[in-house]
Amino acid sequence: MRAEADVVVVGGGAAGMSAAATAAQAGASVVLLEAEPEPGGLFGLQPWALQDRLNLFGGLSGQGYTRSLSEALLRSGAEVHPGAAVWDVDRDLKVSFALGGKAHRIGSRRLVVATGSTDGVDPFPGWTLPGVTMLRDAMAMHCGRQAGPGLRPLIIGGGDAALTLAAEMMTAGAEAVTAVWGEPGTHASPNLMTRVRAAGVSLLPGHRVTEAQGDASVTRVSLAPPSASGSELVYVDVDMVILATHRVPDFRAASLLGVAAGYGEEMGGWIPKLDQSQRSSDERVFVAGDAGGVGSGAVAVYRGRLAGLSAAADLGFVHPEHDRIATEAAAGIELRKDAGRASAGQQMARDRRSQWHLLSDSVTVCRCTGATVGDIGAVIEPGGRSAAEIRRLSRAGMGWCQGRYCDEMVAEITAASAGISPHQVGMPRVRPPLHTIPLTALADIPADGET
Amino acid sequence: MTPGRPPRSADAVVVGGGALGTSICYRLAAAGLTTLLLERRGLASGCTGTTVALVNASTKGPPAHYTALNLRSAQLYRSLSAELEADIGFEDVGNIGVVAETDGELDEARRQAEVRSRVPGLRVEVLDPVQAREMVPSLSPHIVGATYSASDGCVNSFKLALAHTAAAQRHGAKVLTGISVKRILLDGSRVSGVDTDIGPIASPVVAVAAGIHTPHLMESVGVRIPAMAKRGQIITTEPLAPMLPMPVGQLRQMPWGSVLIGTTYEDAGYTRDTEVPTLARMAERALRLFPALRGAGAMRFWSGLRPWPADGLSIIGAVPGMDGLYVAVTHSGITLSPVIGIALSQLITGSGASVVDISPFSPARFGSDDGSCEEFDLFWHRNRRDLARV
Repeated sequence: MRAEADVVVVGGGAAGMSAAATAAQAGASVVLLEAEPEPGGLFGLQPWALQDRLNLFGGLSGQGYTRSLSEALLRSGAEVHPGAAVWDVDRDLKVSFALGGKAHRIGSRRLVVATGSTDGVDPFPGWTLPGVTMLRDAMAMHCGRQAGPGLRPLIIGGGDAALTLAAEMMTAGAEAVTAVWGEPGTHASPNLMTRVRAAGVSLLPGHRVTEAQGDASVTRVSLAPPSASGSELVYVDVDMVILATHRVPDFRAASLLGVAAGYGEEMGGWIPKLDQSQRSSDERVFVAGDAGGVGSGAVAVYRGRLAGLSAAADLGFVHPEHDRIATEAAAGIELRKDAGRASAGQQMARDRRSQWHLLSDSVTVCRCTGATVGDIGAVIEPGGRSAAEIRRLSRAGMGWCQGRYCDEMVAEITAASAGISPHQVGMPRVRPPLHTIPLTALADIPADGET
Repeated sequence: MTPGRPPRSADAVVVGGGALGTSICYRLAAAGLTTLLLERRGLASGCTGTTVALVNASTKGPPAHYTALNLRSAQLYRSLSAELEADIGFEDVGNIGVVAETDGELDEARRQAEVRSRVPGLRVEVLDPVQAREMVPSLSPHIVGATYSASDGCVNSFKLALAHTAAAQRHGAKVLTGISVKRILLDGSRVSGVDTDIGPIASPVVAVAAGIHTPHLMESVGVRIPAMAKRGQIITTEPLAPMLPMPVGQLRQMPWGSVLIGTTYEDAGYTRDTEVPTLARMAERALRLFPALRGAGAMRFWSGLRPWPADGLSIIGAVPGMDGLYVAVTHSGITLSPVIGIALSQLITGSGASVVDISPFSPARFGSDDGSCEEFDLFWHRNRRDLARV
């Protein structure tokens, strides 16, 4: 493995693979580090045909397009390391990662952070029961054919991916699939809705999950109907609940370097400030794809290409088709601006977020430490508290996942309780390691200058 | 935070919401002064929030008066929780301050233990490996000895600062966070208040406990307080089964199971980065001392910047030639905050039997031709532009 590269790309989804291939085609030495055993990210977990107005995907599925990106990467000469989980980036752009149980470091001159998004949680009593799963994990199971015949999943979320998965699971032989989402009218395109209905998915628009019940794992979900249709709870027997309301950008690898960020709720919350080429406030660092703000797969590809072009060009490597790629990417991103559908799921969450502090005190917020809504409420003061204070006092976000899933809940609950806006709570400081690493692996790292 | 309109005047203004500032604020308020605490970010957002939070005298000094100051403060901890009517997470468990892995290290530890044990009330014991492992069975058998003191312990520094704040507020103190003090205001040689980003606040007494920001603030009235910054890096492990009944050699297990692995004393200017090769050496040592850590995961790296006076000793007292201006800046602020709060408030109010003689810690000791200040001047010249970033 090389000790340094012109460009290191963190994350091998649609954006990261596109960035790496583009920069390598331009002539830069490129290393792509992907935490999962297979590249592709969320995008690669879509076995269904994708559509986009510029026909970028040519009728391929996310899986299929990921394969073609893999081939392009191979041809480009970029070095790809699946299973390489990045846990630190230092101020000299030296990237530390775990691979095969060992810790490694690689130097870089330009960094592209393409770490995608994490599934957001719209919490309810029982959301931490076994059998309640994130959209990404459900998609991985479906791709691996582990989800299918006999299942009774309930999917919470009205976005394209959630509803497509609902239809796909039904088609694959699930016993019954129920899809639930918030505001009527914020759901997916008419074409997709027709397909979802044709597949036989039970639709409960406007319903709100009030509780997931079960002993060893989830067996039943209660739902409150839209206020207009009475107050009787609806019960659905399930063996799986899929959380798919919204996604939250994950740009922690860039945050380690202190890149400037702003609050953009329609983009999923805190997002890095980026210029047209996806360059952050640290000129050596680019953020591409969902990590820079939640969007579609096509937009992720275009953003990745722009980042790859600029990262390479900074170092004197100009892609032979620089102008064509840049123009096409800019047009592609512009086209998606009015689409709006990518944020359908975000809409549902927005309406719900302001209610999270009203949940029962016993509802878990942080799965790692067990901190509850009540634990957070107990430490909130009239003038609010900073994210750092809430963390220290309630211990929410101080566990293995470093607040990846609960930071958003903590901020919203704090904000709503104190009567301030979530961005006033502030973005919690991101600290390394981004993933827990064995002390023994850390201890094996030599002093700088030694090998 | 105290809600409501910010006051325009106070009997005393305390600058800094860390362990020292909140302790001083509480003591002044309890003495009957209308006290206002101003903190530029959040409570305990500086060094106080980024420390292993050991309470110890057995590793402090010489000089003896510095060891004694730490000991007096450690003793105050035993009644502090009751006095503040709040849980501060104090653990009265003792501390194995030094773990020696070589004969040379043990000789040095023994020499230091003897010197420190001459301070009345402090007993620093030298343990052989068997004794040390009786106290802490998880220690590796390869060690050659250790030092132990029952006077030491540890605390939750965050809860400590918040408990002092709440107690101060019960005595009528106002606490404002997110307010920066831009300069100290003078009327001739008398302090008249502070200028802040929400306007001036009048006060005949200003106590500056702004940690590493103290030199910058004091510069506004032409006073040089030579406090540098020394970085300490720390590793937090994932929660583990109980293995450390007391702190050992800068390692400490928190009530929720995480082990904090400390720490470094580095001149890193005003940068709070963590550095992987340095953390690797800390992990190496921790694994050597505690084989039970094999298999444990490192969950978080962090660092803090300790205020570090040029001669290594606390700076506490009245600023010469400036009536009403006081300063308290030191490393080991967690251990020292109870005693400094009491001693400084007694100095300010001129009342009460002195808890301890703080005259040796006066800022007056730094003359302009003192060699130890050259080191500070160089540090300050090199790093001051970075101070605003931390």
